[in-house]
Amino acid sequence: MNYKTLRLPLWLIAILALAIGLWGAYDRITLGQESAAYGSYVVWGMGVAMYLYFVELAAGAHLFATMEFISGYKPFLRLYRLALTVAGVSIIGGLLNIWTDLGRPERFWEVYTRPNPGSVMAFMVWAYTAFIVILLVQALIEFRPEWMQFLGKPYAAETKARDRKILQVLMILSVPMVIAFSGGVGALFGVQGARPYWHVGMYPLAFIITALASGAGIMLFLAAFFIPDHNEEHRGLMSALTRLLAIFLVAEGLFVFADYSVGLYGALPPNVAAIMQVLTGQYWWAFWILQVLIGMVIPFVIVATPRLSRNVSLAGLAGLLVVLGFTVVRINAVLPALTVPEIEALRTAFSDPRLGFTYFPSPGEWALAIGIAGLVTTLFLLAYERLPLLKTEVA
Amino acid sequence: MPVTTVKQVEFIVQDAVVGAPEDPLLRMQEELKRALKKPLEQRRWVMVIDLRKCVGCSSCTVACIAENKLPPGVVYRPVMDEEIGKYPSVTRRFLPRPCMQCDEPPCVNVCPVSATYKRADGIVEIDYNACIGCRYCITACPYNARTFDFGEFYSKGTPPQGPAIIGQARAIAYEKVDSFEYGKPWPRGKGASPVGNARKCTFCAHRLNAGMLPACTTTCIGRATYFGDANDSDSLVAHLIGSPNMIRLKEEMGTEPKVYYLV
Ligand code: SF4
Ligand code: SF4
Repeated sequence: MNYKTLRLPLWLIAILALAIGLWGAYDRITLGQESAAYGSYVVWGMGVAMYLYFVELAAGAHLFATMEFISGYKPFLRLYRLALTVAGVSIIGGLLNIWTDLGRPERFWEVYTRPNPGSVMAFMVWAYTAFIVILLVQALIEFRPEWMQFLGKPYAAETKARDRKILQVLMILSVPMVIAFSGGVGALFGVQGARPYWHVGMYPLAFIITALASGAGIMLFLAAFFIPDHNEEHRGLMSALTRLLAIFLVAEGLFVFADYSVGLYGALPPNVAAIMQVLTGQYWWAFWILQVLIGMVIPFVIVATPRLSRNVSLAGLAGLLVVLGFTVVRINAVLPALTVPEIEALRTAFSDPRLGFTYFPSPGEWALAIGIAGLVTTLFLLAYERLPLLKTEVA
Repeated sequence: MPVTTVKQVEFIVQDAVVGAPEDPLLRMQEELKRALKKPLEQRRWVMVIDLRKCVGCSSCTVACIAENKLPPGVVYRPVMDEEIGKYPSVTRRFLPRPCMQCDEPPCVNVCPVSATYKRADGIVEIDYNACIGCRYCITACPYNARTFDFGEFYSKGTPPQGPAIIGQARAIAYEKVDSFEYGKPWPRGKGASPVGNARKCTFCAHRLNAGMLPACTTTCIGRATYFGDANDSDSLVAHLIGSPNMIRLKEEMGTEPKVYYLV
């Protein structure tokens, strides 16, 4: 299976998602946050979870743009432009999710004009800005041969050598940057002493691991279906990606196990309640079936079994399953901490639909999230079809 | 003309002789005037709630909603009601929960735009015109004391007024009356702040500025809520917070709440 086979279904899914998203956007514009199902106690929901998901996808994908530079393994160079593109469209998706989730989206610029340097959220916005700047410069330089040609200007060998040096510096800069902002989102939650479920010292690290696993997943999917020539180099790339994905999935599983088992043994009631909601609550299937089985176990079995992982389509499918299953990882990271009251008697203190401790996204929230995912997919497909993403010129 | 009974006359005479206990509201009102003469940074507002006197009537909740024109989803002072024991040995206790106006407020540190801040007198406020509605502060508060304004109206979706329903038009108009939080009018138009903002109790800072006690304090039917300046050693609250039966919620969080409970 290759892109030719996938093209039509992918475009159909993307356009359908965009159409649903248009209704979601209309709903949000006309009704504001009234259209969302979250409340005053469970104040974060679908928007925040999807923001985390896309931001981590961006971070993970971007690390794969520097993988050749870090590891010295040449086949990774084939992913350079693809990885930059995934990082670019994913960060757009992440920021759109969080922007539309703000109560006053028109004031987002205040994070620049009156920032609170002590706030992790302010730090994150600054980190995204730096990331986007680095990403744009990287893309401009990498695509320089093409746009120079488009402008009818020559691209001299010395310029290329100089550009390569600049790119290397940017790669060096981007690694701590990506770690800072994927770990930073973990810190955004980890610093909250009021919520034992989030207040875990290793949370920033766990978020980095999730970013790496989702980045490896998307890259494996793209390498399998979007790179047409399956030569020796491609086999090497696939083999490296499947191994990396296996390692990251094990690390992810270990983190989840350590976090939940230590939390359960610790027996701090709000933490236990939150963990038990994930494991045995109303949406137990989201954890056990989507997150664990589809997002981790099945892909792991595929990538860790040499006979299966050598099958390019199966390996690509494993990557796709990780990308899809990991959407739940972030929902399970955000919600349980909020659906447990900080003071138990608050549950019944005041009757109001917005003052409850349960949450299921509203149709408007689903539509908006699906639409943003559709936009991300559309942008990627457009870039893939219009730009020469399969070669690497400068890097 | 009202007729004074013999019993009432007896009380009046007795009060004149031995001195009736002063209504704490009158005392706190005087103390408030005294505190307002001091510079802001020398005041330290605290609230004391005597749980032995609270009957769980929720008058304070309602007074707060009326005072601050709170919409659906927003509540500053819910009264928590807990049932203890099993039938037939059952008892109930009530615990009103305003914002604790923490001395070390976790909600302030997290705000990305410094829209929430602690005033010199310790009251934690929100600048509605700066808040971007990210709700980070709401997640950071250990007391669930912040809520979010979705821009809703209680009257929305109510059936059109029929012959059996009276006052619907007035109720709709009432919901749109300006709130005077922070000492300025906040017209409740479509989409205007505080819609889309985090909201919380401010100890009725706007009423304090006008020399009035918080609405919950004056409305409490059990005289269970006391308010004043803890820096004034002669104040009622200064005496009460020294009681051995005083507790604060979640002391272990290190938030140093300025709401005290007598148990
Ligand atoms: S009770 Fe909550 S909202 Fe009030 S000051 Fe403390 S942390 Fe902030
Ligand atoms: S909701 Fe408003 S006050 Fe709260 S952290 Fe966000 S910007 Fe600050």
